[in-house]
Amino acid sequence: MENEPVLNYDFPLREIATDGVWHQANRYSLWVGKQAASDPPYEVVEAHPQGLVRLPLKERLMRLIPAKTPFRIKHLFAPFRVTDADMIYIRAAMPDGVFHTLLAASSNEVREDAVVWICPHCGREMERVGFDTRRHGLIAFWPFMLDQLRAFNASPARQKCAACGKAHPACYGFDSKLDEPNEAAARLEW
Amino acid sequence: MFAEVTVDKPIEKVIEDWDFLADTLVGKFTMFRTVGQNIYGIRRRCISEEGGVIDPRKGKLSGALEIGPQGVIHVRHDPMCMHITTAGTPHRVAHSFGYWHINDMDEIYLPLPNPEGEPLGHYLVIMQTPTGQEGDSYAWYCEQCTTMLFERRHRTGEFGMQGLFKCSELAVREYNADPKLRTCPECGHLNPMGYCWNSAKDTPDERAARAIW
Repeated sequence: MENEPVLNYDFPLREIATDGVWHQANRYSLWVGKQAASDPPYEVVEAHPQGLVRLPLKERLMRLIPAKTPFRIKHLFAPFRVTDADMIYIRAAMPDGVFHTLLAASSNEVREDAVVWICPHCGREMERVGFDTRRHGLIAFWPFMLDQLRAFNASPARQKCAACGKAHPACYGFDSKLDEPNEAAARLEW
Repeated sequence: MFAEVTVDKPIEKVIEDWDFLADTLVGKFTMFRTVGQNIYGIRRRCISEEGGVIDPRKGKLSGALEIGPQGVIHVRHDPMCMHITTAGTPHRVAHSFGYWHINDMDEIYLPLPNPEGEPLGHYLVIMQTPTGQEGDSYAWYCEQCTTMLFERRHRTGEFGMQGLFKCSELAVREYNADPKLRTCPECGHLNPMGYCWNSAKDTPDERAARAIW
């Protein structure tokens, strides 16, 4: 039969961790990454009114990052992403490595994402650039972010925090395979 | 290595309920709990890649089924594999719940094996929070010819999770009360009774049905 409905999707974590790309499964977008014990560990950093909060590296955790909470994942992407979608982060340490899963669903509530630069020295928001998620989808944010962060990395004036005067470090996109040398160095650094 | 300045307090002092799998919190997800844009269920089960998924009360869960254009198909809920049942697909797990659940929202299942040295792993169920007209149906199809026999719907988008399990219970009791409802109008087959997800509420007839299908 042509045009049969899709009843289900299967995503073996080990398999999809190797391709490193985001997948769309009906309304959900998902990504799975795997790290070796020797890799610099991915750490979720969230921006809250009290300041930046780093999630502890528990062997097993499931964190709902509420919609509109700026977050980044150290060594995976910087600067911060803020989205109208609740983002679910699952960390599972297994004997062969640590698996990281990110999940988010589109809905009528999900309209806009933004790339947000928060000064790592004083915690002030420096810049925010909006993205039309309702039109382009949750996954298309990542190439948009890469373009935006490259423009930021190329501008010393934009990197200077207006509040504390210190320089924001270089940023890096979600896909490490696309890193420029300065982005690869930044990915290792912070 | 460069380190950004973070809050100098334990995370619990800044973010409430930050880890759904924490021992102090996981019990709140035994059934289903709506948090923001999703509904979460977390089942503590014995999960291993060699032995599969074993529910302490119901035994080994291996009979996940869905209905599509080809009829009833077997699907797998394997450890370390995320299975997504898309919105609108009738699905059930044999011997676990004796009706076909039709959800207007996608459902995600992810069995995570027992952490090292622990007797139970985490079986995660995640689905979007329905809104407006979106809801859940409990349905029965003829086991011989897949003709739909009976359906009851819960307006979850309007009423929330409140009453969802009661609705399934009422649907099961209504379906079981009248053999005509279980008799296929197409092929005449008398189908077995239904039963609820919560085995503790089984009547003797429902317990017998749970053993059959």
